[in-house]
Amino acid sequence: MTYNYIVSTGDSTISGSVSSILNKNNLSHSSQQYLSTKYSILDKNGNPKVNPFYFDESIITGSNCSLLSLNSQTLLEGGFSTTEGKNRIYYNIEDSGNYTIDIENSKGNIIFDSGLDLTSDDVLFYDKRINSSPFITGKTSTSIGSWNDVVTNLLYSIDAEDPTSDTSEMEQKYFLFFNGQKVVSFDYSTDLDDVTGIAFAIKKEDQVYEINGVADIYGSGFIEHHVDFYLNGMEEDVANLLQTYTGVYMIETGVNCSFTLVNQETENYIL
Amino acid sequence: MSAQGLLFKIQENLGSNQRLSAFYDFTYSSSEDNVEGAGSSFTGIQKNSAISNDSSLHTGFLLNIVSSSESGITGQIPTALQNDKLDLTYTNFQVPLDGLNANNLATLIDFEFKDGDIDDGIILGCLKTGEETIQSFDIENSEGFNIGVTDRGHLFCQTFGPNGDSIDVMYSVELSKRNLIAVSTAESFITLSSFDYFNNLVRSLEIPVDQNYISSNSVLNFGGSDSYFRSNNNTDKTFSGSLNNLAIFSGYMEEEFLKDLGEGILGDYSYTAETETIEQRITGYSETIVYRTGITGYDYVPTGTLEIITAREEFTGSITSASDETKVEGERYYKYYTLNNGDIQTFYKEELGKLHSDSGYVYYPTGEDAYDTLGLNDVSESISAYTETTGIIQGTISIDLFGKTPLTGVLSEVSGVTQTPLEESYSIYTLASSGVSISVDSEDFKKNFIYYIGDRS
Repeated sequence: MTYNYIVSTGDSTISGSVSSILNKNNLSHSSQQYLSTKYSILDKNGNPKVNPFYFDESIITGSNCSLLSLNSQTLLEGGFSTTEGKNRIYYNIEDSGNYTIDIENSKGNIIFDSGLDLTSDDVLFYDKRINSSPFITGKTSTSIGSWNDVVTNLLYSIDAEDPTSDTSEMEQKYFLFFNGQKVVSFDYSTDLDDVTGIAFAIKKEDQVYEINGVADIYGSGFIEHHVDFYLNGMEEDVANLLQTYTGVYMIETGVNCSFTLVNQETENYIL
Repeated sequence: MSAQGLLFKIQENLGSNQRLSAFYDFTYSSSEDNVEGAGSSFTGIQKNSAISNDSSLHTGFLLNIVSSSESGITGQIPTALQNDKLDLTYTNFQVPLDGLNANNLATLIDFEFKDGDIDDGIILGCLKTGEETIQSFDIENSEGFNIGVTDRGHLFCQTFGPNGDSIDVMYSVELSKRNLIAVSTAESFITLSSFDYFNNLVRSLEIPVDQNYISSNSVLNFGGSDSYFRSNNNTDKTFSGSLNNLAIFSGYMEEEFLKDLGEGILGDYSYTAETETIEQRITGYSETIVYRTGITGYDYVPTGTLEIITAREEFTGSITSASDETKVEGERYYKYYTLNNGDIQTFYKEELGKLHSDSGYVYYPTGEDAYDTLGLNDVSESISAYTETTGIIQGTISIDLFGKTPLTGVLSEVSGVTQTPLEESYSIYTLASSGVSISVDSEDFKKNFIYYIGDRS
């Protein structure tokens, strides 16, 4: 299995860490808030789509500052345009995005692409990230070397805005996702040549480091609850991790260790 | 700095330090301040901080630093208090309650583990259990409670009640190397809290208790307990770590409130004095009438003089003495006479032939004829000689010449009004500010171990 941890190191002081801390692994809530129905998106059948997931507007404050994982699959945020109908305004998600954010008109609602079927059983976590547009490229070819072309295209796109000399530097500065899975290595490879889809790269935040290949990590300090964990490229619920101090003993988990000792007393009654 | 930070937070939230019974930052000052005893009994101590309500109370004892002589312990105290923390693997610590009750107080405990494996142990231990015989019945009793940490690194609270011993483990909280926790006790419950200042979280466990089993007026032990499964002696060291700071408050306190006070313990207090900036502002205008200016007259100033000749030309001259000359008899020379004619002064001269003054003769006629007719002696005599200066003089008068210069000045005609702003100084004050920044090194408060508990196959 491919283990991939992204941990926030924070600052050298607590105050400094708090001021730069990132909100990670927020579980979206589904409680329906008041929402104007004037803005909506059509589902694949042409009906107004129900988007049941909401985010905290104090965390996600605009476009291009969120990273969503739906059932462990990382989604790409796109921009949007609108088409005005008689009584409603309809979103159209652009840039090959899976979802879009419109703080002004849709408040804390996540507007998903028409093709995404959602149920109440779906699990959606969202992270806040620094504001930056993703770099996106499509992969339509399955020829040998086609994945290398994808990586190269992304490198060129990134380099045009953020001078980046090679894939090694790109790997230091960016996260790479392909069809919702996180790609750990940016090295040229033929493993993904026969797959088509969408690849995108987003900028890494400051004060994070990434560790690959081991199930358990220890040594350097990190801030609890500010860890992302990808298992085979799919984001895992951090409830599957213990984030603690190296000095503790690992013992069997799941056993309630609260107990009460009861002094048993016997009363004798004379019949 | 933690004392100042805590005091600031207390003043901010409580208005006074009345409820701060004790505070220890475990700073070693001197052996005199950290030793108590007399005769053949000396103990290491940690005095209560001056920021507490009554620093004469709650002097803490370093339980394992005792000796029959003062010199026997003075060397141990700096070791126990190295790096401004009390090493609980070196000595346990005991605080007399001095009027407080264990079932009605709050403590903030800033502790850290030593590097290496964490073993279970007591952080705060004041539990005492025993038996007493009342009316021939043996009755179990207790006082106090224990707060400790398990091998797994979880906080626990051990109490004794009507149903016997109970241990409640705070398994939802993973501890870091360094932690700030709070224990707040009331008559019917104990609240055990852990503070996560990174995520601004308070996680608490409320443990119901029976006050009749918790009440205690004696001491709080840190590092050991009189009733623990591994030891029944409060001098036995059970905790593998150290205390960085310890604060004890009278009465129960809410955990959120304690978290705020804890920021003071971990933080640095800062104060910026009021500043005054002086600015100017216009309060009005003074008006001044301005009159036109122009030529008010003329001034005639001398520009030179003009000489005008008023009489005919006249010769003038003068003589001045020159070097005497020697003349022999018969040699010609001039005899000079001056002539003063009013303003005109001149001279005239007569040419004579020299006769020596001792000759006693006067010769007539003079000149060539005399030479011819007289025999002259070859004697000489000095005569006075003169240098002649001659010239022409005319009568003149001098006339002054004048030029015309205009004089400028203020006329009586008004040309306008000048407004001059009137200003006054005023002060802008930036209010004094103070606060606490949690600038303590954060590394030990972070986690450093991720353990994956999912399926690894």
